[in-house]
Amino acid sequence: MSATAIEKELKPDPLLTTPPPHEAQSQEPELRNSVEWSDSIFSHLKELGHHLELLQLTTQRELKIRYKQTALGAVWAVLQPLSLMLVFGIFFSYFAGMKGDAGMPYALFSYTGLLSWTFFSTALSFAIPSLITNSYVITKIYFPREIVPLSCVLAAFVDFLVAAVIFVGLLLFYHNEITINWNIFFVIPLMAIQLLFTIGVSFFLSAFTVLYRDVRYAMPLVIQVWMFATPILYSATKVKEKSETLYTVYMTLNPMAVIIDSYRKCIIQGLTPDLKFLGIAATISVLLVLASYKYFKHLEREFADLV
Amino acid sequence: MSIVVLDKVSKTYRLSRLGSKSIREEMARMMKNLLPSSKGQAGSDEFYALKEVDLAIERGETVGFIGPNGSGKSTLLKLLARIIYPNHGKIMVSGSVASLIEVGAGFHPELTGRENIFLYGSIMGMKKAEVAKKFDRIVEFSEMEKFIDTPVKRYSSGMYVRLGFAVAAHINPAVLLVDEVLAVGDANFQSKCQQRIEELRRGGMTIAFVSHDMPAVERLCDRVAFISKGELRAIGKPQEVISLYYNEVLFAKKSSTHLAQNTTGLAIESKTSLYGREAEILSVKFYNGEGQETDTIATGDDLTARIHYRTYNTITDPVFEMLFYSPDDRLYSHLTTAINGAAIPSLPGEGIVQFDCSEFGLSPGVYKIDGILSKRGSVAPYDLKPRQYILKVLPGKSVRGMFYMPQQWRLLPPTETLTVQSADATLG
Repeated sequence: MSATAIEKELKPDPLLTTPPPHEAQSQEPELRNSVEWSDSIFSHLKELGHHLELLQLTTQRELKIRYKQTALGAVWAVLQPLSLMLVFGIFFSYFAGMKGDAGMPYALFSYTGLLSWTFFSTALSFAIPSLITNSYVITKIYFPREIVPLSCVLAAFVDFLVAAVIFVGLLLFYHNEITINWNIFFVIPLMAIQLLFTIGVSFFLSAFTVLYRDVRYAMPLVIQVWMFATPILYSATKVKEKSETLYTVYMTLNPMAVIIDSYRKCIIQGLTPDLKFLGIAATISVLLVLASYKYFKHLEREFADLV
Repeated sequence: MSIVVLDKVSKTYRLSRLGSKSIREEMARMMKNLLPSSKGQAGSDEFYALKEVDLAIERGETVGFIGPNGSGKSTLLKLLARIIYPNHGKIMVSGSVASLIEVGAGFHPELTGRENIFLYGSIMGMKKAEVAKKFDRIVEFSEMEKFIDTPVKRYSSGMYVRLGFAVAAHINPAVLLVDEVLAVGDANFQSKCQQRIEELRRGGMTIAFVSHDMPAVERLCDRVAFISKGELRAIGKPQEVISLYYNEVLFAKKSSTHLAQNTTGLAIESKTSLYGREAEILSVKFYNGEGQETDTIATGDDLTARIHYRTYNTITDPVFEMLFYSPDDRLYSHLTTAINGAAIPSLPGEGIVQFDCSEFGLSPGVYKIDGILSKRGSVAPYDLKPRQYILKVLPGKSVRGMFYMPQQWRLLPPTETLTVQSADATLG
């Protein structure tokens, strides 16, 4: 075959002749990947913003693969907190005679706690080992790594919303025994705070797991202990009755306790949550997200070498 | 204008820190460091994967990276791809970088081919709409129309790789990084991949690629960089750097096994044996049927080639080879003394090996020729002269077709024709 024949065969690609848009923008080589590479949260957020579609796709992927080849599919999202509620209802309420907050059916009381706790613990159990389980991509292609744990948290959040449908059903079922008023709109900032707090913990622990695999094994235990330190099966007022100081420490140090207690107050009792503790929890969540994001991005450069 | 600039880039690994450790190990290490005797050990187990590499890649250029295994080629590509970060130095890149470090690396086994195309495209930095626009072309290229809605885990490894390359070859980055992925798939798909890379190259894309396939490197690259032990040893014209690479590989071998012998008797030849070469090809010359030196013959003519060699050590069981390449770099013929030649037991000093051919078979054209001198069964040749010699072939006994064959024609007498016919009949 002659050279001219080859020339004809390899026509320029029509899609290639138009220069990609990014080339028009940046003519000078931009500084990146160097040791002095920008470390500001804003530049990280800006980059994450460019990858929102990827975040959406990976979240969808998380959900899809979780329920692929399962007969019940997304029903599992509901089944988990629901079955726990039934079990706790039978053992703690019926046999042990435990009570929730005043004027609250125990089923509704425990489901509120279990629903938000399931979101938290599911998110953590998927997000913490996520960088290691995704090492096959991390060592091969670049993308902002926070997308990996973030998509785990978001997928758990979608599960949470699905399971919340049952919660709405329970509210309707018990509507005569509870008080619903405008305070129910506290749910929105509460969900935002819980989401932030979960993301903060996930960023920190998923990055830390890359350094120390111990976290993976310690986590189930920690989550269990944390669950008992959170008013899920018992009422936070029980702690308050024991000691006022203990209650303050308890509510200050554990944002999950504040969040779950506040959910119950604003949805079921029609009360305003304790704004002092809620403010502390919100502050902790915001600071935690900022600090752990910074920590995550700092360690990110070593991920491919370590996973 | 440079699109990629590396300024004194180093990447080190701590040998003891490879892989992650548990808190217990970490504490043990910290305790050990507290003891005065083990002080200063920290630096000793540091390993330079890359050391102070300076490099600039121009827009639209294709640069090949060659070097022995573990020399740092892949580390360099991973740095450019932002998968890993340098310990020292700066890397400047203008525009997006797409890496083909491993074909199909972003695929998730549980998702279908279709879902994976979108996910992989998105990881590579493409917008959904962009992927949708190119979707049909990607599927067509991969030849996977039938299985596009099957989960990727049911794919064969060949199918996996085909789809992976198809997506990666249709993204439109400013810089494309390719690491040894041309060696995948069957021969048909391999040539398709190479053709696609050639297309992208002609389309003005900047490409950096790592390969051990020297003919491919030579054909595809504008410049070649030779990396050894984490250092950039040379960058320049493909031919020159590739032959330097072969020489260096030999040198490394020599320094470990033949050092003792090499210290004596080679003072005069010290200039030519700079790379520790044991033998080299000095020239390849062609002669026509009349015995005159020439660079032009006609198809079907008699041809004689003489390979002039020199050895610095006695070489046993040598093999001479000549490879004829067409202008578009297709290998047309490979002649080797290993198959057709008279056995050459050993080569002392200097001499000539002659190759005789009555009725030269290649069709008209200009051929570039590799001369190779190696040891039988060895991968690294003593000497390789890539595309160093040129032979022009004019139309002669053959006018059309791919090649000429020596032939005899004769008319059979009538009686013989009959016997042939009856033999055919019994066969039928």
